[in-house]
Amino acid sequence: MGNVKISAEKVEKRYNPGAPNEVLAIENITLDIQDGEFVALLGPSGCGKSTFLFMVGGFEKPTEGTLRLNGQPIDGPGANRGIVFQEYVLFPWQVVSKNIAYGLRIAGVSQAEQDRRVAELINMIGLQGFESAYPESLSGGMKQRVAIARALAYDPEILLMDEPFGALDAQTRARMISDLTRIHATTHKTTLFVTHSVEEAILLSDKIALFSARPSRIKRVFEIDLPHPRRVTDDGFVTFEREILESLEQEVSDTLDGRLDSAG
Amino acid sequence: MAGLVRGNRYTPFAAILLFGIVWEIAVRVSGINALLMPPPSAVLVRLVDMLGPGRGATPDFLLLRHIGMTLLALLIGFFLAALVSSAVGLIMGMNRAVYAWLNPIISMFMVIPNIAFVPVIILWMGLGLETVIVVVITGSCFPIIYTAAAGVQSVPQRMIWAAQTAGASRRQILTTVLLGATMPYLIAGHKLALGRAWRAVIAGEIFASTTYGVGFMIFDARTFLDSEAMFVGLIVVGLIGVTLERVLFGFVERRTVEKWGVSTAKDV
Ligand SMILES: Nc1ncnc2c1ncn2[C@@H]1O[C@H](COP(=O)(O)OP(=O)(O)OP(=O)(O)O)[C@@H](O)[C@H]1O
Ligand SMILES: [Mg+2]
Repeated sequence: MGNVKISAEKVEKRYNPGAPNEVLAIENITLDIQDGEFVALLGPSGCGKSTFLFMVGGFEKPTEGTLRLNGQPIDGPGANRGIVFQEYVLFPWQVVSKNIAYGLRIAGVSQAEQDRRVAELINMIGLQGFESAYPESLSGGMKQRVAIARALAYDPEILLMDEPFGALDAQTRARMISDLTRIHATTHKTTLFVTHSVEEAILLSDKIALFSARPSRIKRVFEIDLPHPRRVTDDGFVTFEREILESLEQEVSDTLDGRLDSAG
Repeated sequence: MAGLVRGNRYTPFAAILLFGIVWEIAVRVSGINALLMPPPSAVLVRLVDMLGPGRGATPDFLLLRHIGMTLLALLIGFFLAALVSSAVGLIMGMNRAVYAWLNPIISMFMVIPNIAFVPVIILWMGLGLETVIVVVITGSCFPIIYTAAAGVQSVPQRMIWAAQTAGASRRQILTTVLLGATMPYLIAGHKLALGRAWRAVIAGEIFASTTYGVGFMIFDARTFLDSEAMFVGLIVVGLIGVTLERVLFGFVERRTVEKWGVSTAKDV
């Protein structure tokens, strides 16, 4: 704790720079994420949250500024990060246990150690009995849990999650939120969690980075110093929720005004 | 009975039986020259006869010899085509430049009916088994190349990212992700290709075979006005063709794509 794990300095991202279809997805983001911190990236749709996550993942490169991991500029993806996509993206031709063990196989870990690790993760995500099921036969929530286990299996330093609960029903989501809180409490992995949901963000995070509308900057950072487990009925929760929602509404109406101005 | 009419698993057999009965009646009622159009009963008797011991100049198990030769040419040709075309298709799918340069050529070859290659191949290689094998290869390689390339291109970017972030090298991505993710396409491509290969081997034998082969048998029977043997050949071609496509690939599909719950690329 206390060390800067990920640091973004004046990061800009343009897609297709110079081409007619150029998009300025991120204008200028400066943000420090501490080791072990759970940080939610919150913001209106299309503001570049996924883009930022994919740059930390090393899949996309900033067009300006620097993005550092452990003090080193990020240069491509690597096994010190684990990623969970909104669409799960499991390997459909492999059963659950094989999906989870993927990173371990890549790392050349012994079969015995793989089995041990998989059993441990299966327990953690509560999918006992589904080890030899194919992903297609699982529900959305189960698939998402397998995706989380796959990302955790090879013990990365950082967990990147892109709206992982976006497609889940309310009950499954509530369960996943408490699961993830528990997982974070035991693993202390630095986590970047992209979400649309103010509620999810407050329930889970140590820190919420609120993105402005595109081209995005960090509008505000909220430190959520509430104790776990958190409930939506807690006073602290309600206060934060009101504050963040106001800030978000402001953002949305600014965007609309901006559009009206440029249209007028 | 109602289920049979509406269509259940016995319907295909009933349909073929009915077709045979109509054919039999039509031949008998019309009094058409049996030399041109034999009744199915006579064809069946002949079929059984050809499976048994020979007579005079006819060798034993004549039909099985023909079928054996055809399957040999089919398997060698299809195996070679599958091996090379899968590799070419995967490389095409993975490399933009290779795709850009090869795709126009392959698209052109795809629309040429395979039989049009046969005279050229005979010109180069003469008659014989090798020629038939090459005809099978030209008939079956393009669908495999095409679907393998399309399969690789359909792999979601994020699936590759998921592997990269677990530390997979380029080579590991190929063996652990691309092959698996492309499997439904590879299977669909090979299924299509085996169907083409079967048509190709028969066509190839008609023109290029000199000893045995079902295609050769059909063409050779023409010289003796032996329409029964020709129809035996047609029936055998139909039966084996259906078996290859349905039964063999049904088996493969049940063990792969159906188990995984992913759809096969049918729209090729
Ligand atoms: N590969 C790409 N090529 C071109 N433009 C892109 C690409 N990916 C994203 N964009 C654009 O960049 C902007 C930011 O996209 P991004 O997906 O990062 O937003 P987001 O905040 O994750 O949105 P959402 O909440 O809807 O998922 C959008 O305008 C999007 O159209
Ligand atoms: Mg997104």
